[in-house]
Amino acid sequence: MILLPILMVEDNPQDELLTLRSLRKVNLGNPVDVVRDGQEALDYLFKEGAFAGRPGPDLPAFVLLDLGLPKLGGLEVLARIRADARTIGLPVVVFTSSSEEEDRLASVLRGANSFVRKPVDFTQFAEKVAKLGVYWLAVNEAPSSAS
Amino acid sequence: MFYPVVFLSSWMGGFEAGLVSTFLSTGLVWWFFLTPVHTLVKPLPGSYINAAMFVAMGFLFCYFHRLLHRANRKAALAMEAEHQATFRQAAVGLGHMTLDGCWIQVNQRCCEILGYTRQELLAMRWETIAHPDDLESDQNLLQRVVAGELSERGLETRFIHKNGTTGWLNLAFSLVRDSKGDPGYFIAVMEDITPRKQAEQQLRENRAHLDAALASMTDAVFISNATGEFIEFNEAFATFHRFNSKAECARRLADYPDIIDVFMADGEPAPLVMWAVPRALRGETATNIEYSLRRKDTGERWVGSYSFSPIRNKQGEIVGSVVVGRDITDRKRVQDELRQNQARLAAVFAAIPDVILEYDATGRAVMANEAALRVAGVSTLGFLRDEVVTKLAFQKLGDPFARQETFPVARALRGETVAGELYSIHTAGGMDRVVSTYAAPFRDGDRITGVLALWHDVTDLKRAEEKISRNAAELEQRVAERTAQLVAANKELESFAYAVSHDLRAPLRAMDGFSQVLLEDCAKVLPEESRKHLVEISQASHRMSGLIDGLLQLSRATRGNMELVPVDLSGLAGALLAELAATDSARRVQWRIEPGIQVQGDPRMLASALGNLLGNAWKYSSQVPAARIEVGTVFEDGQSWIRVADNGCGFDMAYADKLFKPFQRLHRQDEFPGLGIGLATVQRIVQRHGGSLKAVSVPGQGAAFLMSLPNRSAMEPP
Repeated sequence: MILLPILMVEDNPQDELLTLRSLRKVNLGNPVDVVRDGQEALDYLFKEGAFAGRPGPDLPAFVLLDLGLPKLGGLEVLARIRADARTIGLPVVVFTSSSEEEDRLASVLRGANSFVRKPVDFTQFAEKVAKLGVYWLAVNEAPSSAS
Repeated sequence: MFYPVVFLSSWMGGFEAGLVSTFLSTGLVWWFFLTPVHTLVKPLPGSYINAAMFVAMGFLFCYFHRLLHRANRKAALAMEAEHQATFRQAAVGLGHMTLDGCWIQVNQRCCEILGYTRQELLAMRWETIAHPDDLESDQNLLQRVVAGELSERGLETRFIHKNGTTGWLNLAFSLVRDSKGDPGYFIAVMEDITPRKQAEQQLRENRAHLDAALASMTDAVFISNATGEFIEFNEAFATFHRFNSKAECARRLADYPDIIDVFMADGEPAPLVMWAVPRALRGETATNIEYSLRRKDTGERWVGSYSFSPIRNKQGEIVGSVVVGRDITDRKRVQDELRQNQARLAAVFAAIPDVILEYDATGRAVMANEAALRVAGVSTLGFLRDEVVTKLAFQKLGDPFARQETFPVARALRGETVAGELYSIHTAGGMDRVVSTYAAPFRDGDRITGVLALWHDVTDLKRAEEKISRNAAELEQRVAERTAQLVAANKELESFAYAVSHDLRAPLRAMDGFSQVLLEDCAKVLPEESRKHLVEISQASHRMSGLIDGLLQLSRATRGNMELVPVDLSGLAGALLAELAATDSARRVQWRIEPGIQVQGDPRMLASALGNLLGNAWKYSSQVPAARIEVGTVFEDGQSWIRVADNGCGFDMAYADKLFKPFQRLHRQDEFPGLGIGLATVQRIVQRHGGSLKAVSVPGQGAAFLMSLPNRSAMEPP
């Protein structure tokens, strides 16, 4: 059984480390692919640019998407994902420091499957990440990608 | 013895009769008195001689008688002819009439007077020509003549002329008696007095006309003779001179200086010689000479307008005067009033700073006031409106191509009233002015007789208006600029708040996260002291995170649009307190909420504000055994306040000014934890609603927060 990877879009290396550590702690076994800006995320998903001919499954199990990203912002990335038939059913979890109502609303309107705020408190953080991993990898049943 | 008889008979009987009687008597005498002895057969010569002598004597007597008779007859005929001629040719009408009124004889004049021919008249009776109304008196006259009472006295009586008209006669009858003294016939003497009668009638009528005319005149008319006696004057004369009746009037001019004073038009006393009658008697003719008069007795004054002229006879000598006087006091008074009104009007026109022009129906200006002179330089009247337009470069403001037919005066001449239209003019002084125009027609019935036009100079007003609108535009521009700046600043603030919420948290998370990681991974390696330090780092990052949340709360509190709807504060307070009680079930807090507090405001913001106040009340009353929270309304400083009070620790009013400042706290964290952001948030929300917030407290006895929320003015977000 091939474990689908998790695609983490995160430009903050500390958040990346803390997230990865938290995921590791729950022993999910799925690999985590990390891209650091919006453009890279799209290239990864559509196997374009630097990711052209990328090995492995076409799509990850789910996307952990930060909003405050260089180049292409998270909301824009989300919109592109939902605009493409290949990724229309791809679970996307918006994972951000923002607690703004506007961000929550914009994310849902653009088709985010979930909106999760990164808590400052690491204990809470680790707990949330762990729950996310378990839910989206083990609990949720995503439609098989239409390609 | 027969001789005297025969001679007498021949004398009396005339020639033929005398001769016959002579011969008969001769034969008789011869036959009877001469016996047959004495027949013709044997006549005596003597007898023959006697007879011959007798006959001859008879012849002689007859002859003499005839001679004598002829002479008499001749004289009688001559007399008769003379009479006839007199009768015929008399200048008066003569006629003989029988006692019963039949004409016997009429002369030519009589025919002429009565209009009939002689034959016609002789076939007529007096009654047929007498006027029916006068017949009785005529007959009466005749009877009296017959009775001898009257003779040859004339009677003026009427008759009917043949042509049907009525004429007048002066008629006299005399009675001719026969030798025995019995009445024979009448001789009528008639004179045609119709012309005289007509003249008299005419005169009477004229007189009546004159009297009627004089009586009907309202002007005093008086006619004097050469010595100044009034021979004619009318009723109006009495009225004019303030007499009660005509009878009261003095009849001599000379009496009048005692009755009235007379003054010339200029007010100087007029001596008698200057009065109208003396002037007319001196030959002067004049009309409408003004005198003012004053009754000496009553002092009443009046003004008369006199016309007078002399009366001259055929020789041209002045024999009198006729004067007409009219009381013009009322007219004078009206004229004076009119003059005063005109003067007043002129003064008003002159004083009005607006240009006033009056045009006649043809569009020619007939009046222009001082302002017209000053502003428009229109100095000569009689100019046409087109000239005014040309001279002043009269133009409709904002429409320089508007045609002259659409200008106010032209329109007013067509019956329209124009008001408040703005026109620009270029005055004689070279100034450009803006005038508000008014033009209205004068009407005489349906006919437009002229136009009054008025120009009100609104140049200054216009300039002020322009300046104001320029200023307003500038102000608007500045406001727009400021608003743009504000919007930009707001945007900046928002992105700052976003950055705070998003980017500032990440490092804190890293600090906390890696501290935890260290604690987890190296707990056994790290000394106790170091582990405590890591915990400090973690706590500091938590605290920092709390501050960031507070900052965000403050910035979010008043962001966005406000909607103003009725909000049930009582219900809201109840819900919030119930929520607090649910989350802090360990505490027993009593609360009392005044029911029905309703305000106008933004529900989200008001919930936030009330939530903060109640949260504070809850928190700061936590150390009081019987905590009590009250929500109600009070009326203070002329407005109503919503009051949230607790019986908690309260605060020192000396620091009250710090209460509403962000991050300012009056209590230590170990006493009451908090960020110092709640009241700042409440303050901003209340201000956003146009209200105010104040606090009163006595330390240890509780605090009360009062917020006013005027419904009318909610300030828009910057």
